[in-house]
Amino acid sequence: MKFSTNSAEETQSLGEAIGSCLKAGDLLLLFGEMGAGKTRMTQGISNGLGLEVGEYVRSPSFTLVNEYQGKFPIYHIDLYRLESAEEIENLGLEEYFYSNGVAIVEWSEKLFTENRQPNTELLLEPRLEIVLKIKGEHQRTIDLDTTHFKDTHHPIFTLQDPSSMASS
Amino acid sequence: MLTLGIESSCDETAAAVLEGESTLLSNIIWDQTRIHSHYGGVVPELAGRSHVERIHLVIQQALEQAGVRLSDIDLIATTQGPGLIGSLLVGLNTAKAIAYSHDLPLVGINHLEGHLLAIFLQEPVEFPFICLIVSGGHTDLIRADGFSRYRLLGRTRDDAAGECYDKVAKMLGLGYPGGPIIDKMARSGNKTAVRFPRSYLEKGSLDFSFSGLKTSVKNYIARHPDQEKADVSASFQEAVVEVLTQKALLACRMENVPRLVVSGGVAANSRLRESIFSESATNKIQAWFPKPLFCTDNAAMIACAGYYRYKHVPDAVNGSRNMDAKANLNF
Repeated sequence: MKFSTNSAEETQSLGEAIGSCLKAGDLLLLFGEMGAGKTRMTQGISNGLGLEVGEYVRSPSFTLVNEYQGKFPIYHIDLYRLESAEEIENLGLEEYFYSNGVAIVEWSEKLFTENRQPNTELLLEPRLEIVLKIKGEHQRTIDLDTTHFKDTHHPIFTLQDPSSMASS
Repeated sequence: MLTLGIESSCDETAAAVLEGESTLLSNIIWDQTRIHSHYGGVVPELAGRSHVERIHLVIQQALEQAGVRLSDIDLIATTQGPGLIGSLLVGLNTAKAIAYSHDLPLVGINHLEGHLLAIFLQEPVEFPFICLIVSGGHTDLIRADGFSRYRLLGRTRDDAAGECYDKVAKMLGLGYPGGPIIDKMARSGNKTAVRFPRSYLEKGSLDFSFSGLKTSVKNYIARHPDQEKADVSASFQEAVVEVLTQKALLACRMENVPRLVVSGGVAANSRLRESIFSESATNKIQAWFPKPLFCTDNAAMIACAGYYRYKHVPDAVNGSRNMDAKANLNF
């Protein structure tokens, strides 16, 4: 599913729509360079998951994993600082993946080789991939990739038409 | 009364011995920056491992320099959170082990309370006061009405100010840690060269947002690759400092409190000091900064906060030997 947004607010609204379709145990991998809107997308997803109004999702670059409470736990993970597959494996991410909550991973690029093969022993299937690309100062294209997602009855497949979504 | 403080929440392994409320007998800090500089930020796994290797030496050194033995210590204060869980656990478990083996009272301290009270190592500040804690992991405005009586007024909604410094330094290829490097670089730059956006959020909001500034600097560098790094550094720093200064003063005005304490790693920044001192003087607000050694993460501030906590909330020691480290400990 491909979407395009024209502002950070629209990116957040799209995130909210995605978040409202998620279930406990879902794994979301976010891809995109600095400034693409990953944290904004995560804020939207968390709002969609029932994060209390007025609560903000802060960058986990420092603490690596931030935990929030929505309908179920939200684990916001940031791999920005990590370099090698070994460091990532030492993190104990399996505690957060496929758990009682939703895991959202920023800088997921670090989990894959250049030709998009996983570079860790971590279980990464099934997963939803969200690829954010910068098209202009405020324009972004957002690709919600369900290739590695097996559950065809999952509510994510009920997501509305992208164009009506972005303007809502 | 002798308090042993232990701090290992991020990339500094630290121990200190404090006599009474402010006589510092020793303050040992093992800084891991060299280990992490290659990565452009703290690497949690490396940090945890390095704490394990260093903590006993650091504590031993703190005791030796203070000229005391563990049996002379009356209280142990250790950081409980927030921070990197693998790092926090090292200090906390070491503190618990010492508390058990020497049957000593133990208090778990919120790292932010340490920063908030660091100024008391130098001089007491009259309550209430507003405290701006600004570092690599935090950008918080807190009102302090007394020891153990704090209220969060605002905080960053995305990136911490210090994190923004690190990321911009990385974009400019200047290295790590970003704060001191950009501060130095900015001195030879023109702070009005580029007008980067200042995010003040809704009117009256005491929250911060630095994510937009980070993106804006990134876009600017991409479009103007030949721009002097000193000018970009100075202009970026000016945008951060202006927002920090104005929000801190706004908090003082809104709360009707004429006292401001600025603490945390970024409080060592020379431009921030200059700006806060000059603006607060104009606004009849008195401002304090702990000296740089007490601004960065250290155990003296944890010992100090521990001392006051024990004195004002003696119950804090109950059950503390069973406490857990909390990465996202709330204030």
